[in-house]
Amino acid sequence: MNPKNPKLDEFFKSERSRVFEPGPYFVQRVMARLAEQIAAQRENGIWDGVVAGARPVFALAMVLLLGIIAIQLFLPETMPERGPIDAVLAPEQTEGEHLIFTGTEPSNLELEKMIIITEDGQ
Amino acid sequence: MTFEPELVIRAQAGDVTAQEELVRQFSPMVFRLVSRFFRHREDVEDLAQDVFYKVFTRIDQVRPDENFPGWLRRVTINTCYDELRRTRRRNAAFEIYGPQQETETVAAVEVPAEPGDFGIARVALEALDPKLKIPLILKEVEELSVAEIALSLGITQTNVKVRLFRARKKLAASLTSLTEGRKS
Repeated sequence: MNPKNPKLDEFFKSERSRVFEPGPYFVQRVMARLAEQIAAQRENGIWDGVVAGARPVFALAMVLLLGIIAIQLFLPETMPERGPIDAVLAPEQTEGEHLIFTGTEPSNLELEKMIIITEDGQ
Repeated sequence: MTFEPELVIRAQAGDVTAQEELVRQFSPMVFRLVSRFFRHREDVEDLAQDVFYKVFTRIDQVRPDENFPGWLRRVTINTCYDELRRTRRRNAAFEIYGPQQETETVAAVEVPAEPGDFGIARVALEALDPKLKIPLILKEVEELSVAEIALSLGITQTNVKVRLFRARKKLAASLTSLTEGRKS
């Protein structure tokens, strides 16, 4: 390394000779470990498959959910003018009853009187 | 050592005999490389096993025309780098959160007595950051060229040169402070 530091050069030289050799059963140990890991992977394989399979389903669900939220945020909310019960009862209602049920303010005095009469009648 | 690329193709197909042959042929190289960074036989053996486990679980990534020994060297160096970083983090955490008594007794750096008086150099080298230590060892002990180191570490040649320069500078500084500490 540094030619001005012979001690370090000697140190690195000594390091070159410091080498471990694989033992006689190293190959067998590696193969046994590999086989063990593969067996363990196979055991967990079903659950890995379930998790892997569920991932796209979750992704699709998330996309749909976000899409619905986006639509709700950007499109104006339109409410129906009347519900189904109103629709059934509407033909039987007088004008005064209609004003009471819908909660709208009467436009003139005559209508107001009509409401009072309707309420008194009930 | 004559290496037949066909062995890799057979190993990719799941041929156990080919896998065994690859381990037999390349384990001395892997052991030699790991020995450069770790000093205990058990550590070297464990890491060499890790290397071959990684190799066979990722062997599909090797193209038939690719330089298998070079790829294996990269995997080995990366495995050593990860282990060195883990060890360094463990030691740092122990220094911070470990028992108070330990930190007090380790106040003075203990330099092991070694033949040729290399204890100080070893302590200085051990203290280096793995990012600097690995290129330095590959250059000085493994005698690889800058281009080969760059290829093995997946960094540019300029980056290798910068790391080598910093490593030498830090090593010199540590050596000086350790030698002075020993004298006083």
